[in-house]
Amino acid sequence: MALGIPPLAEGGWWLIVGFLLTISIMLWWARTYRRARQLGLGTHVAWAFAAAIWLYLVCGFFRPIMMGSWSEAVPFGIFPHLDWVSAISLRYGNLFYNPFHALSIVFLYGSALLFAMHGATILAVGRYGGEREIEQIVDRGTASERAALFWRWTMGFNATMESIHRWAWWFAVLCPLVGGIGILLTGTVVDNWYLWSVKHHVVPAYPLGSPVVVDPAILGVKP
Amino acid sequence: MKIILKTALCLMAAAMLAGCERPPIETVQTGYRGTGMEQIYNPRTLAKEASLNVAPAAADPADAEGPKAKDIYKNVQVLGDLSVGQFNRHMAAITQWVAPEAGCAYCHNVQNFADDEKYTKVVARRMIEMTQKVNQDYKAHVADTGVTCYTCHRGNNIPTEVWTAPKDRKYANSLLGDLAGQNMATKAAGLSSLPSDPFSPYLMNALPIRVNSDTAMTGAGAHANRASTKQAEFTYSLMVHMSESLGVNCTYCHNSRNFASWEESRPQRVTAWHGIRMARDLNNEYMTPLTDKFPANRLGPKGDVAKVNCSTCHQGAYKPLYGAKMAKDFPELQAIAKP
Repeated sequence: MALGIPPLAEGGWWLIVGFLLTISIMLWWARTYRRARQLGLGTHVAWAFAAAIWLYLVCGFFRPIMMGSWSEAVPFGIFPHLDWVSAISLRYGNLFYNPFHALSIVFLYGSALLFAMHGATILAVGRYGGEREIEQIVDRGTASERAALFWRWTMGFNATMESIHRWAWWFAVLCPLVGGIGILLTGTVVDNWYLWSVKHHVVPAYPLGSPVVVDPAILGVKP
Repeated sequence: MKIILKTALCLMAAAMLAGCERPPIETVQTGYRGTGMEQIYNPRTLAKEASLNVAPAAADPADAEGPKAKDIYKNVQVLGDLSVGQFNRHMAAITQWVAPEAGCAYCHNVQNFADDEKYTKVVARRMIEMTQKVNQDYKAHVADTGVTCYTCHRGNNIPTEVWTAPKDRKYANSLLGDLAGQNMATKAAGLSSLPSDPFSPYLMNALPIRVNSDTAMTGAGAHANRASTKQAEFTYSLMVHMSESLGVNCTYCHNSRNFASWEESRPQRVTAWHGIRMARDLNNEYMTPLTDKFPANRLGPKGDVAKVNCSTCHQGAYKPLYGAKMAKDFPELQAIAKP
C-alpha cells in the first residue's frame, strides 16, 4: 500500500485519526502563538511546543514519507507505541548507538535534573522571597544571592534568576529537536546504527568467546 | 477523611508492588565483564521450577533375546525389532508418560490391541517416529541428551504447551479494523502488544527472522533491506517466546548491543537456531499431516492441529528436564526404525 490511502480496516482508520490529531495539534499550536501575541507576551511556549511537534511529525509523517510506507509510522496506543519504540531500535541496529538519540537523552535527563534543581532552589530560598523570581531577575535580592552562592559552593557554577529559565528552555527544546533528527536519519540514511558506530570507531571492542560463534546459515548446515 | 486517604495510599502502594518480584535476585555473569552478559534468577522461582522438571526413573532394561515383537504381535509398524520384553517395557513407559490414568485403553482397543481404530494409536505411532527423527537427525539441538515422549507429555495426553493458529477476532474482517495479529495481551507474546502468533510465520512457514542490515548505511535498489519495523515486531515476539520458554534473558544467546552479531553471541544461539528449524520441520512433516486423524475437538479454532514450539519441550527450563539424560534408557528411540 505504501503511501496510498489504505482500506479502513488496514490502516485507513489510523490515517484518519492521525490526520485529525495532527490538525488539532496544529490548531492548538496556533492558539498558543496567537494568545501569547495578543497578551503581549513572547512566543517561547509556542516555539517549545513546536519542537515537540517536530518530533511528532518526524515519527508519523516525514519519516514514513521518506521510507515510502505509512507502516513505518508509530501506532497509536500506550503499549503498541512502546513496542514500536523497541522494535525500531531492534530493526535499525540499536538506537543507543545513534548519536542524536544519545544527545536527546542528555537533554531529556538534563531537563529533569534542571527542573528538580531549580524547583528545589526556589523552595529553599522561599523564606527570603525567592519565589518572586521575575522581580528577582531585575532586582536581585538576598534570595538570588544566597541561591547563587549555594550553587557556586556546591558545583562551582551558578545560573542567574533569568538564565536558569533559558537553560531549562533550551534543554527541553533540544530534546525533541535532536531526537527528531536521529529518527529522521534512521532507515533513510543509516540502516544499522551499531555498524555505523563501528565504522566511526566509537564501539569498544571486547574479547570474543572461545571458540568464536559462527552463523550456522553460512556454513550450509543441514540439520 | 484522613483514614480514607491513608487506606487509599496503602492500597495504591500494594497495587504498585503487586507486579514486582520479591527478591532475592541472583545474577550469573556469562560473558566479558562490563558487557551485561548475564543471567538473572530468583532462587525461589527456580526451586519451584526444578520440582516440575524431574525425569521419572526408567524401568530396568529388558532382555534383548527372544522372539521379536513384530513376529509375535500383529500390526507392529514401528519398534517391531525389539524383543517382546523390550517392546512391553516400552509400552509400559509410554503409558506412564502419556496416559497414566487412562492406561492402555487410551490408545488401544483392549479387545484387540492390534486394531488401529483409535486415532490416538495412529498418532502415537507417528509420534514415536517423530521422537526417533529428533534423536537421530537433530543432534545439533538435542545433543546426546535426546528426547522421549515424556520430554513434552509429562504425564499428559496432550502436552500442556502446544499452539494452534489463533481464531480471528470478532470483527477482524470488518470496517472496525484488523489488528494485524497484534495488541492482544497473550502469553505467547509475553503479555506485550507484540504479534500474538509468531509461530505460524516462523515455526510453520519459513519467513525471514533476521531483520537487521549488515551494512551501516541504507542500501538502494537490490541492496536495500526492505524489512520493516513491523517485521521486527514479529521477530521480537518470537524471541520473547524463546526467552519465556527457556526461562532465560536475551543475553543467554545474544549480546544485546548487537543482537544480529554471531561472533558476539554465545554458542547457545547456534543450538537455538537448529531448534527453530527442528520445530518447523516437526510441525510440517509430522504434526500437520496428522490433521485429519484428529477429532474436531482436538483441533484449534481454525481447524489446525496442535503444534510444537519451544515451550512444548522446554517448559520454562533452559534444557528440558534440566538436561536429564532420560533418552539413553530407551535406545529404541535413538534412530528411525527401518521399515
